[in-house]
Amino acid sequence: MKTPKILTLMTLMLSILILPVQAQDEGKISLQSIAEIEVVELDKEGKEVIVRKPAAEVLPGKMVIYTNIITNDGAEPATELHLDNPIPEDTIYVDGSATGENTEISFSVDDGSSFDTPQNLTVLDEEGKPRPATAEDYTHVRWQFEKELPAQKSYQVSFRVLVK
Amino acid sequence: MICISRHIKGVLKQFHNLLTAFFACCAISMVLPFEIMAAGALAGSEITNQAILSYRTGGLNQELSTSTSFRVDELVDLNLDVLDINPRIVLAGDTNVPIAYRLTNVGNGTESVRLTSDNAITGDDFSPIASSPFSIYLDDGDATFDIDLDAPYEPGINDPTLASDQSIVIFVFNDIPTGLTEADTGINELRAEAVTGSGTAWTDLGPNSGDNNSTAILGASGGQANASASYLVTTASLTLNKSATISDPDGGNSPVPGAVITYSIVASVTGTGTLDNIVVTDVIPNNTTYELNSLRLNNVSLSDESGDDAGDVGQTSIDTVTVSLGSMDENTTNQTIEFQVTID
Repeated sequence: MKTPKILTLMTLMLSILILPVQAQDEGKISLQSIAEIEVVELDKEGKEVIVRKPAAEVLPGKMVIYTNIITNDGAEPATELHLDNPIPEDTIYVDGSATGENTEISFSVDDGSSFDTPQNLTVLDEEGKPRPATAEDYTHVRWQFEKELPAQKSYQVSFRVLVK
Repeated sequence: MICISRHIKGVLKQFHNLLTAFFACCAISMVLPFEIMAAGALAGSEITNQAILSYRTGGLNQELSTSTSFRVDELVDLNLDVLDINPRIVLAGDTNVPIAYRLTNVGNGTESVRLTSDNAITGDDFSPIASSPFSIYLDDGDATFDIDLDAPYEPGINDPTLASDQSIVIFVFNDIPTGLTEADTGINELRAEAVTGSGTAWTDLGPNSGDNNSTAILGASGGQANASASYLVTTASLTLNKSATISDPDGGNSPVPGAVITYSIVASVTGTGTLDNIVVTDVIPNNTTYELNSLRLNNVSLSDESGDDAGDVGQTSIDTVTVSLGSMDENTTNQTIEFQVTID
């Protein structure tokens, strides 16, 4: 029963630290990236609940949830949207974790030169033969938006990584 | 130990024939390093995520990027293993018998580590005695003990400092008391504690307690590691009995040029217990020439090459007969090594 208390203490400390960085406003479209961790806390009834807290300091082996939010504060719609997100250094993409409504999600295993769906991705093994790529091989995630982003609307996409 | 017939004793003396036997228990044995995966992200490092958005608005292609970062906590985690054959076979009264341990920093920060050797362990038959003046030595990186190169350890003065993933071999030397009996066991325990902190796993040591202003958190090991190894007393000892017979070209047994000397070395174990990794070496005497393909073990021919059977001549060591006898105990049949040389 000690763990939740420690985690709660940790998250209290974390919550007073770094907040997500807001991108510069260009053409009234804004992009925001948020890093969060999941922690176990006790709710009012004393039940353990999982809550998300901003990731300020994270232990190796822990999972971090990234959420990218695209907001259109302008009057015109934005079209042909796609969002590329390199997998951060010293982290591993969590298989199947990328989500995004009305998006086609693809991955790169060649540092962003090409993107494809997981089943079509291969990498070379130690003997130089192609083998199916795994989540650990991914270098980038891409969300291709199927719809335009109307004025005064926002989209959000998400993925998870493990800190090595 | 070496019986030589009086007749040829004078001849053999000038050959300076040397005979040595090595036991595993007298040499530091080495084991391949353990592969331990430590945390990849270094303590205090920043992990930055960058997202890049491409879109069209107002008839123009646009690109926008943003980033967010967090700091990696320091995970304080140690691992300690025994490298030697365990238990270590000793004789009562042996001194300076080393046990090699390997300490690995499996955390993601740089840790200084305090070491303690403890011989007062319950559940054994005797307590080994810490060798003096120093019981603990820090290896210089070759995993082989060398009194000139490896540093005697003094707690708080030269605590080893290990980067993430780094290992160090630690030699703990103990003396074995006298008056012990067969199969008595004495345990040595080595304890390692991170100077950053140790205790209950997952304890948060607070802001700035880790490298690069990170928060240090004790890992699964609690920032400490123990390993123990035991000394096992044997009363077994190896006896080598060497003899020689001469056959001269005239059918006699005079040590004249051209005469063939047949050497015989009989290895036997007395007492009780097992001796491991027995290797017998014998230098070919000066002024003689080894008779090719004459090496035999228990009346079976061994090749002069190394690697194909238990023995070789001149391969493992120049001008030397080398025969591995493996493990022997008091019940093992005597092992007989024979070879021939010709007097030049």
